[in-house]
Amino acid sequence: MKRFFVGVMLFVLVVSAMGAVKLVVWSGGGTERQGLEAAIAEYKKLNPDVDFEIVDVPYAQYEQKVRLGIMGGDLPDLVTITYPYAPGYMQYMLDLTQYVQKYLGITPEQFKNAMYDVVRIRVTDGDAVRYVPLHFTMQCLWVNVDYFKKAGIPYPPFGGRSDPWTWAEFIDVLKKVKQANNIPYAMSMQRTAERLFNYLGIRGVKILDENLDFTLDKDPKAKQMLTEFVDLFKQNLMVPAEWISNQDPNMAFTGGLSAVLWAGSWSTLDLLKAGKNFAPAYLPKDAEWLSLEGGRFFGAFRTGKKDREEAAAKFALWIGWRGLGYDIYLRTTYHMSAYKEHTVKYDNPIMDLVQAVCGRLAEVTPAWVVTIRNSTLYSNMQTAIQNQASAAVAGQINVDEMIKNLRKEYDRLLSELGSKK
Amino acid sequence: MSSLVKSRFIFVVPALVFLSLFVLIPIASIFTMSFYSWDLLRPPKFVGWNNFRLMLEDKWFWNSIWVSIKLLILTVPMTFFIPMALALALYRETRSSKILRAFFYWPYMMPAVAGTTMWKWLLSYDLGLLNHILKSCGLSPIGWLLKPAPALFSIALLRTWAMTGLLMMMFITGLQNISEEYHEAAKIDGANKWQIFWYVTFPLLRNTNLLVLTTAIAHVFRDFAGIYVLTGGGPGYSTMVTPLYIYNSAFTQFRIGYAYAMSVVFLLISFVIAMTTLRVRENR
Repeated sequence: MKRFFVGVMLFVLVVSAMGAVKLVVWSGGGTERQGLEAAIAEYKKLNPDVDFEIVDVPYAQYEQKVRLGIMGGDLPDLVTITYPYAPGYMQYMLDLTQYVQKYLGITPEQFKNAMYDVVRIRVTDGDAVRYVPLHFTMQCLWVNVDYFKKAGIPYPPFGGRSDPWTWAEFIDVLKKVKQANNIPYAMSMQRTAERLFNYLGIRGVKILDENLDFTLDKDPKAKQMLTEFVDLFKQNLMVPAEWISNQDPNMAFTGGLSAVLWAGSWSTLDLLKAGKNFAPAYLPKDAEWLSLEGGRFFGAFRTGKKDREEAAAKFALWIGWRGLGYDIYLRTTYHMSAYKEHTVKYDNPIMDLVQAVCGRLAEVTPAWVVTIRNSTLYSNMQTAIQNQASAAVAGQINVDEMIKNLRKEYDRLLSELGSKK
Repeated sequence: MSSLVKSRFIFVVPALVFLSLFVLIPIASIFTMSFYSWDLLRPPKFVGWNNFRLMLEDKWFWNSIWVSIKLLILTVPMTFFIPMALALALYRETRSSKILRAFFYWPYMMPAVAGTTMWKWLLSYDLGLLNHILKSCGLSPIGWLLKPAPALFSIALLRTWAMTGLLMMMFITGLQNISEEYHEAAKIDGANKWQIFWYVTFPLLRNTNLLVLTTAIAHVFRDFAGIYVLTGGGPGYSTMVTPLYIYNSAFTQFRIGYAYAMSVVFLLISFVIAMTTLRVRENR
């Protein structure tokens, strides 16, 4: 009898081991890992036959590791990809379209249409769905509510004003809030090509147009808008150290040296930790009203192992679809939803404000913002844009030289890539 | 082949294999890959001399070489004389000298990123301790990392801070190997402290001096982590040293072949500097 039970136990163990699928996930670590772990814990209750191994890859080595993995065929089942690199890896990703009906019970069209337009462009490749949104971000403003109250200035949309500021109003607000609170600067902004792209976009200037042609040296407004940008630092409305020596903008904003932070939905968790009275606000509106989306996507690699590919696709759709694992992930990481009219029950009401502000900005952002930035050409120009802008703010080059140098870089990249893509 | 030669050969083989695997093959691959265009995603494509042609036209690459040389000129004297002065003060075996040696050696043991992050805070224009002290003394704050010259100087200062402990220990070892008899003989001949140092101690330290110089040059020339964290190559390109420029080309722009080509040139420059230092040592 004893031998029989031992035999049965062993049989069960062997069969269960044979049936279990272990999925390897490459993650960026930090809160992303925490979000994945929280969702996985819930998923395993529903699917005990699937196991997971999360591998943290440091951000600085992430793209390098993914590229080497693709080259060497040593790939995980699932991977989180930062938005600028997402288009480059699409061809290696499983098409999730075939699994949408099976695992979500909706048509692929319903799935795609539920997302904000700016997200849909990022995750699809023609009819194919290559990624699901993991954390979706939008640029927005953060204001120091106490400073604005003291200056008696309303801010949109939850600070006593509904419409976004015009650019002229915004500059006036920055001057007044700085003066009323006697602070050295008005606004903090991280040194990135994406912030400059957003600023120029609002002012009606494009670095590249929809055909991916370089337009800064053709657009008569470009020089003026860039000069005005540099002047914001000269007037100490913005913090020179942030663009010259890459000082962390959160330092000045949470330290009370500036009243506005041009950042985004991703800053929520960090700003909550500061324990101050900060609120999200609309970006200003000038020639256009727009913001820049970003974040990380989740995809399943084509590994050729059918059972694992299917298990990976099933999990990807579960964690990437509203109301399922996605909500658990968002509640843990304090990120906003990539789906329209999707309410997540966060344990802090600030996230409802973030969702409302950034959701509205996602709605008004035109498609060209994504299509231009989705290109390899723009992606490869980012370092040069950032460095040239930094040099201009530092006074090492003037705006004309900046535009000339960027044109040179564009021409070089174009000849290297062989075509605009 | 005699058995003696055979046995010698067998003993040398492990070292040769190690040298080939970790030195010769990587160097050979650098030279080979410099003729390819590669983005780590698609297979490498042979482009002949194109990477070198691009490099000749790339003013930021030549700027990075010039920045590396300027940093070398600025840092090496500080990393030579400060550790030497400290070594002269601390080379005798007393309790306080042992504590102070450990104190000065400590920055060298600190991880580069941690140490640099600390310096980044100290040098911050708005929130840094150094500017806070200047302001409390009624002086104007300095944009340590906001202007090209102070930023380069800040990097030199950081490098000196990080390396002083190691180089001081090299000098102390050298000083402790000099027999006291030489100093006593000089004293009897009526030499003062400066004369003893200049005519006795300094010449007897010549091998240590060259070792310290070589180590300092190598450390400064290949420095990457400190500059990456402290300035990221800015303001503009004013602290963009060659290793950082190569890194950016390789891992932010994924121009791997081009980065290899720049590495070849940088390797040759480093080789010339190393050979010059060795020749100086031999001539002495």
